[in-house]
Amino acid sequence: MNPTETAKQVLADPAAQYQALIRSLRRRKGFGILFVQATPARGTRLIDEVRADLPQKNVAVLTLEEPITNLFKLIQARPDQDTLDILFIRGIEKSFDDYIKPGYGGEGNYYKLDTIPPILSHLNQQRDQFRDTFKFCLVFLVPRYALKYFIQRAPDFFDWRSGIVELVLRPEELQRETINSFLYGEFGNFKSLSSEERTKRILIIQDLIREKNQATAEKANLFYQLGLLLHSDNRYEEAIAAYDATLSIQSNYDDALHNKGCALSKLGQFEQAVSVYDAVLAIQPKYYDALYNKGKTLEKLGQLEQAIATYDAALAIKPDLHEALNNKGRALDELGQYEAAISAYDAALAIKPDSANAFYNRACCYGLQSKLDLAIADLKSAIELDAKYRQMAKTDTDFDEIRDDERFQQLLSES
Amino acid sequence: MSRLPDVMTELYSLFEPFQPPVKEAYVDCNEVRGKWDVLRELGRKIERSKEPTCQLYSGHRGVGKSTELLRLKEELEKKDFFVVYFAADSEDVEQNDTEYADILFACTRHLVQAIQLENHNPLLDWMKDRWQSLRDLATTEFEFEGASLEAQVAQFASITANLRAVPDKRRELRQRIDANTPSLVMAMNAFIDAAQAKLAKEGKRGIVVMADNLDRIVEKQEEGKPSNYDEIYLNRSELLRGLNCHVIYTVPISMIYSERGTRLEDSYDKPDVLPMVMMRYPNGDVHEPGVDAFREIIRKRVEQLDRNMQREIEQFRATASDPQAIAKHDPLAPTWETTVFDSPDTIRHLCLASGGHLRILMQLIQRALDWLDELPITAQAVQISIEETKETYRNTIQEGQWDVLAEVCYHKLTENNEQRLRLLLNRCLLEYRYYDDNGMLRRWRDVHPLIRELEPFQRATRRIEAAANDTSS
Repeated sequence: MNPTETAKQVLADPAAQYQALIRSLRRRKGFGILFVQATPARGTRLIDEVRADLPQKNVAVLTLEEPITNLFKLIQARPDQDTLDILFIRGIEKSFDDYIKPGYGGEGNYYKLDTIPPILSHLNQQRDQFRDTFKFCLVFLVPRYALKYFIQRAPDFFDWRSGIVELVLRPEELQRETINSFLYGEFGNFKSLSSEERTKRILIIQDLIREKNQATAEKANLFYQLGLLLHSDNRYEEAIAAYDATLSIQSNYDDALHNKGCALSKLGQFEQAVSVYDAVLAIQPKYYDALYNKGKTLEKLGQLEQAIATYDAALAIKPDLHEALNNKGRALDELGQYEAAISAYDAALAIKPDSANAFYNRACCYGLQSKLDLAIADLKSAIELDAKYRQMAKTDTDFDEIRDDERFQQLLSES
Repeated sequence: MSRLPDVMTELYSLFEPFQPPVKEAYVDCNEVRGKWDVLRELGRKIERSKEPTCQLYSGHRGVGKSTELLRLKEELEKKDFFVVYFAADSEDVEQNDTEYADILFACTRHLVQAIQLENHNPLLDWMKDRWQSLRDLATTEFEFEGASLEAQVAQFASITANLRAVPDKRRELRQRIDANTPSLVMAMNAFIDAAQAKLAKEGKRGIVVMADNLDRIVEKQEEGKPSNYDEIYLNRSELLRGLNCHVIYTVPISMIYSERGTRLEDSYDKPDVLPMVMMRYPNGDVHEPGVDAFREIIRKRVEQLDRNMQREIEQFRATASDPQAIAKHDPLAPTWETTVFDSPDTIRHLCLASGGHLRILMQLIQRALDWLDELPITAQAVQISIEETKETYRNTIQEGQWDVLAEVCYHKLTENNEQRLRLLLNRCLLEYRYYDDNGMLRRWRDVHPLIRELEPFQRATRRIEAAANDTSS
């Protein structure tokens, strides 16, 4: 094995990493800065291990629960600062989180020039004071993104480090952390997260992907999770890249493929989306969501007959997929097949009696057919379920035939 | 048998990335920095000019900027200049929004501290007047009586700084201070003139203020507003260079490596940048003098180890009988290349991997020691340390930057744009200078040698190559 490969192997060995850290701490005389990249749980265990292995050293821990702006004063106020050898500092990333502003993609949200976490400019400017005042080693326990924050925004402070220890996780630890990071459930669960929460999860997952001992199969899952998070943050290109990463590991990962189709469709790349859905169906013919979404995409392309056939295929697998019935109705509607459309909406409402959308769509059909009473009854139901349909009806040309009717006007003017 | 101090511990301490070398360990790298010499580049202007000079000095982090500046201080003092050197500290630039006024206050404070003038009134009067006008903004009462002038300047600076930290007072304060800043410069100059007169009697040729560490201020730019760097160094340049003595400001390197560079030249004397030590020529050939200089730096530090441990080693020698044990713990100079290190090749590898960047060299060595229980420092330990540093570069470089790096390297680009600037600033791109065979000064840029080995960089390079071939065929 060549020296580079041996070196990489050593670096992936948790025990060797730990020993190197211990040597570094044992040999340190006076001031020093070390960074340890570790998960919070691993960090806690590390502190216990260091205490046990270096009994001659006076070890303390500073845990930051809140954002701070001045670390120097905080340490200086410690009664034990004259006797310390090692001070572990945890939670410094809490002072960065507010400065990760969602906005545009990639790393653009982090480490931006327009803001700087005050703690970082403090550290950058005061590094001499730290060196000249404190006679012990500062060990920062940080996640990867915090490390990157130091690199980008407190480069002078970071430059004085004596090392960065990446405490790799043992395979079993990694598995546990990985499972914990997954957010089970529907896509909607991701949607309901706040943007900040999503950002945090993205960071955690990116870290786990880069763990040296991460199993390949788990990596596929992690990339998929990453894709979902990015997707729900409307970062479609990045989401697609993440899904592709999943697929490059496991080409038949149908969920990743399906979501890739959705993201492509969001980007307006309908043709590609359709072929991706076909690929999903080749793997899993009963994947009715893929059929449903393929139908929607075909509609976007104006291939209405094909869309209807696709919805029918989805309904053959899952007869109570009322969204498919509803969309099928709309496609029929656009083809001018009002009767057929109305029976599709009837079926949708039979499954989901409070579907405002179905009521509204059916009202449109009746409107086009100048069936005044039926149109008004359905529109009324739709508006009762969701007031937004009142606004929509005001400009919807489907109602032009009945617009002058007094009852119609009255329904729209109520508030 | 007496206990031997731990060689590894001692050695580790000698390569601290945050300690400038002790005098004995200093190695003159002028030749391998393209003959860049602080005495010539900055010193000569001060010596020759009859008028006060105001020079900007800059360089990458951790290449020896402060070390060189302190060397200049010593030289100028030998030539009878009175030098006030200060590394801006917390009292000077503590705030998140350091302004030019803080820098002026810092200079004032350190000047006053260094040159004791009894009852110097212009400065005191200035502060008293200002204080009257600021009083209503302050929350605490302060009297400018009794305390030393130095303490008063410090107090004044800190009070105004505290005031500025209160957001709703900031604008008001800025207006009042701005309105009065020219007169601060005048008051300072009255002080400087009096000081020069006093020092002249002691045979001094003039005052030189060296404001180091100002490059520590982090750049901040909000949408649609000038960056805080522009505010400090460009928009207020007439004040910063208004002092009646020689001044050297250490400025952030991004000021110089940008389109602002030319504007700086208009406002100050031509800025100077301390270059990297060159390890390779543009064609990839090793620049042996550069490697030699770094080897010398390592040797001198190791020599310190001898000095520190001499007595203990002597004692050990007296009691130990095993010559091998002595060899292991006695890294005396002549054989250091094979006792401290496993072979001269390992040293060479280290020097080349540093890219001519001094601090990286220190960090590589310290970290290599972490992977070893005893000497010698092996090629394998160095390689582990190198792999770790590569990982740090991976974390430094953002997704879109690989192409930029590859492009600069492939096309040997030297002009700046914003993207390249950022990469220069975080030292992914390094600038070297040397004199070619025709005696011409050449500047060129290269990606850090460890980045060259990273996969994303190689991928980007292949893309650039392919694109270049496409257009040429």
